[in-house]
Amino acid sequence: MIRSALLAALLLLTASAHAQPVFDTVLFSASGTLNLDAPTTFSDRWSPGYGGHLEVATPFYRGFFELGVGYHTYGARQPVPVFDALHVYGGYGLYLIDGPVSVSLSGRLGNYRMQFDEATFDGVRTESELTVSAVLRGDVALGPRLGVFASGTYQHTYTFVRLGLVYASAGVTYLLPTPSWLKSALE
Amino acid sequence: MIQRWLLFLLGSCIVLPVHAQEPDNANQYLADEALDTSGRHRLTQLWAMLPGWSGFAVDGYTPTVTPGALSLPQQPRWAAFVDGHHVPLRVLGQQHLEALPLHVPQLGEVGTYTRPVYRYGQIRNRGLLDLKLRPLQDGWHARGHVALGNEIDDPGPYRYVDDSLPNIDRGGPVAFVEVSGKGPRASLRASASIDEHHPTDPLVRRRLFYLHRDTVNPITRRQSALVQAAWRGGRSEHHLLAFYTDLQPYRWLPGTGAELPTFERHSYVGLRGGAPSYRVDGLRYRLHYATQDYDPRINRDQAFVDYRRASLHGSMAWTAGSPHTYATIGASADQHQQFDLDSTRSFITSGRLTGLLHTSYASGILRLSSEIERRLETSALRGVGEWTQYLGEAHELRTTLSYATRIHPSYTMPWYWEGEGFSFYDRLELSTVNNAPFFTRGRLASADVVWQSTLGNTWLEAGGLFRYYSGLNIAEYRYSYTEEVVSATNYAFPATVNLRIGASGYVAGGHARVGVDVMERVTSEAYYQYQRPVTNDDAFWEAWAVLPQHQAQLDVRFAPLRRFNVALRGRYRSGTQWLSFRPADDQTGGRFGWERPAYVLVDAMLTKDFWKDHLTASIALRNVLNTPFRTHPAGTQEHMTLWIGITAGL
Repeated sequence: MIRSALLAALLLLTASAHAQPVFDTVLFSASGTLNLDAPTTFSDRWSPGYGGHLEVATPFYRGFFELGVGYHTYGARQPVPVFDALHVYGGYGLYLIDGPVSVSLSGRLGNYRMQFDEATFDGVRTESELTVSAVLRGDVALGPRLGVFASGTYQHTYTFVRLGLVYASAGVTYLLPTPSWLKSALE
Repeated sequence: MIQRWLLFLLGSCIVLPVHAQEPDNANQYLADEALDTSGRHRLTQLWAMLPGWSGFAVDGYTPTVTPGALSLPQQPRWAAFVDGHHVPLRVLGQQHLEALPLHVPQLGEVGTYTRPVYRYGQIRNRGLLDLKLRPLQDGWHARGHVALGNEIDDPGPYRYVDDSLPNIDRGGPVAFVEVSGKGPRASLRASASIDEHHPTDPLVRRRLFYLHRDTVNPITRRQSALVQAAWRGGRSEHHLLAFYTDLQPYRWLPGTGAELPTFERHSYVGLRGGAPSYRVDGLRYRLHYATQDYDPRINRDQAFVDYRRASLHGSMAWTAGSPHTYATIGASADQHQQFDLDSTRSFITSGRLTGLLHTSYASGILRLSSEIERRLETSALRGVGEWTQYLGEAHELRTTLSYATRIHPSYTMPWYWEGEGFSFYDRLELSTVNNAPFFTRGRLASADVVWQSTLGNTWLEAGGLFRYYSGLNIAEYRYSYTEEVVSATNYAFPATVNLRIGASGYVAGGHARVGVDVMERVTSEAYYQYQRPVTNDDAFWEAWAVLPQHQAQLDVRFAPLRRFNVALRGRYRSGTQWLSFRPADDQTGGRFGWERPAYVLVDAMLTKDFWKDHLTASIALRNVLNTPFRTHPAGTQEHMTLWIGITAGL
């Protein structure tokens, strides 16, 4: 975990500065997500399924700031309840390669709200937990506004027994200049 | 040249009178910028930002703190002021800051005094916390704030695999709404606030599970309302502060060995005023009436505390002289009433005469104050000498010497009244102290020296403190442990108490602080403190051993963009010793850890202002290293916690 953090920090430090003015554009992303299942005590019991993400990102201090929401589904491999999870997160990233074909690395902090299909205890069906994620993403611009991207995400969920999940995502992007009222509010 | 002199004189007339009355000489200040970027929401979270205040918390919510070794950790008696109004917080030998109806984003400035000083008309020699609300702006405004916190280590889906996994503490909502108006002569502020804390630590929850009926989701809850008003005329000004707080805590009281679920109501009305604050001279007054009620909450064993305390205070002070040299003489009277279920009452009335002589000269300030108090048919004398010497423009030496005879009353301690027939803890089988003296007399002599220097973009501070105590009454508790239900509070840690009368000893220590503007937009501050008791008296040593001897803190703040702040804080606390829990440890093979280990905590905070400062969002990740620390053997083990807060203002 510490090695990963150091590597991420090194990559961020060596990344090229993104010269775009702060809050100048808004990049919308929509993607489908596939969990890359690995043999763990978690995957012995639950089978992560498909999911999806919606994100917005805007240039911010040498990189970009992003907000997003994800939805993941989990089936059961043993007699345990299945559950769905809503992931709400914010993050900051830097462009390792900038241009029409770009590569970025970002870190995210979020909340993972798990909704189970039966009560845990005394009617409580949900659990919420902190997540920290690292995302490596490649974007290809297909025009001034439209683009496609693919990304790999490692999501660390701080439940008592830690959940380390790896996802692959692919989707489309749409770039808009930030409306002046929104830019003013953000600044 | 003459113009410059005239300008200087004009400036002196404007600036000096304000500061001459109450010099800005606090041991530590937190300005609004530091508070805004702290990622702290609850008032009780302030302590993490004040390294000169040492303490511990059983529930992870209500810390017991002691500033500058000015009172015993088991009997904290520091004074709390809100906008210049003294608010009594002391109940049953404890002080609870959460009784104040405020959250951190409502504060504009925090000053702390960890040495004896003359302030607000009296000598304050047990530490002082000086809270100032945010200054009001002209016209009508409204503000609101909400924050939520979540500690990691919830069971998640593993709840279905291992049902012994605990749910972990959740904080909040911490919220307030405030409306305010300010005109040329008058101002008004009204606010309402709430706070919730969900204690879920297995050790604490196990105790609550037995005692409290609401075993599903025990919640410590606070609801408060505050009104502040001010009127300024040509010759006088008057300030009103009133609040009401409804608290529903699980109160760990020394000797109970478990948490008692209580209803607490704190109400306060204070009025102060007199000559305008921009003048030095004139007559000023202070009045307040405060009540603190403890009532039982429903619990399985019908154990309850029934207690009420009422305080009435009135004082007058008259100041004469020039901005540079003036004298103040004041008189005050206090009456404290205590009564319980059986309507047993006690009235303690006291009176004080206080005098101050202040003189400022070209290279320094000298303040001498003395006070005589008459209480319990005896008298106490206090004196404080504060000398600030400027050594050039960059250096300052501040020396404070004090001497006080202290009245150590037993009447504020529950074990005394239990022995005297008060039924604070009805149906509880508590150990009590019989034939304890009503009060004893003791002494405190103190010396504080602080050197401050400013060298370019660096400022330095180094200081030392010395305290000599005598005539202290120290309660030596001994907790054993049981999982058998004996009675409501004897369920967990049955206690015995022995009173050590007339304990004495020294406390000595020093600190250093360095602040550096590392580069543009990056500031940092490092703090280190060493403090320890020096004594052959075992009870005196034991009483202070619950505080860490070494404390260090490092703050780094980075503002890469306007309206965007990143802050990092690292804290180190050395280990502590809790001899009172050694029997419980011996009994259980060290389950509770009477020797608490040292720990390091790292916090990270992000703050962003939006919409021309009308909206502020903050994210704070506390205890990033996820150090599992516990400041009290029977207390909550704390982990990494995420706090998110939003403040909006119009």
